Amino acid sequence: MRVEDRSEGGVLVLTIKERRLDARSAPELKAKVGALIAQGFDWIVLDLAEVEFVDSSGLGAIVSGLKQLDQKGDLVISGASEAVVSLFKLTRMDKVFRLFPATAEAVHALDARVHRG
Amino acid sequence: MRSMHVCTVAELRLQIDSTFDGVPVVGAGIRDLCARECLTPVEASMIELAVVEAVNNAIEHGYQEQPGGRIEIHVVVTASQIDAVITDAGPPIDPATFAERYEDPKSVDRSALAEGGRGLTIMRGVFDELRYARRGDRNVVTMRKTRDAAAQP
Repeated sequence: MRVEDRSEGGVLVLTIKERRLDARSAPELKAKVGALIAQGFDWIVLDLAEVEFVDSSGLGAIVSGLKQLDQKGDLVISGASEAVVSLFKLTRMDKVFRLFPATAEAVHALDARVHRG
Repeated sequence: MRSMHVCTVAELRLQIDSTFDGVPVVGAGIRDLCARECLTPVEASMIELAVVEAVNNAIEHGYQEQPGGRIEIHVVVTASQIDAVITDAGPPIDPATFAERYEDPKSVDRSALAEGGRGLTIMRGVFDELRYARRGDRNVVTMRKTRDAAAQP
């Protein structure tokens, strides 16, 4: 699975460069997010702008990232398509994850929390 | 004669092996079918999602992710409804699996969130009806959704 990561201040932006986040790709995403959290990245924006399809396995990998953060930091979503937002709503995960239309907005929101401490 | 495209009955029949590699092909077929039958891209995507969840369940629970099993997918779209039937020849499923589960994320902390188990919630959320039956040596999952009359041309 192709994923790009970059740091913006104290925030890590993880951009998924795949069209599908499904049962095939979910284990790899879960491992990737887990490794980054283990390296100490606690404030994460998951950029889904290029993702057209997410199923419950893909969603499970995203939930896994949040669980691995435990009490630290946050993991938020940016750029999700209307269909992907519908998946979050159907499963009520829109109550768990903050969904931002644009990555810059998500980074800004998390960065403010990083500096608040 | 009307020159505009009239949505009639259309169907998709596919068979795939019990591996996740065949699932995107099912998804693409459903999106095409739904687009031809005047569903919006988001509606088509949700139908794709629910059917993919049913197929993933068959691969994971019916065949324990082992290749060599057969999964049949039959989707029929008419002007008034969408029917999807997903069949596998795995061992019988405990019908209690299909009992409705309710997750209220406001009441759970991060560590209590489940990573999996949302497939049925999705299938039930997208379609109006979800049924399971054991027919002979096969599991048959049937989903039906009434189309929103106002959304049709």
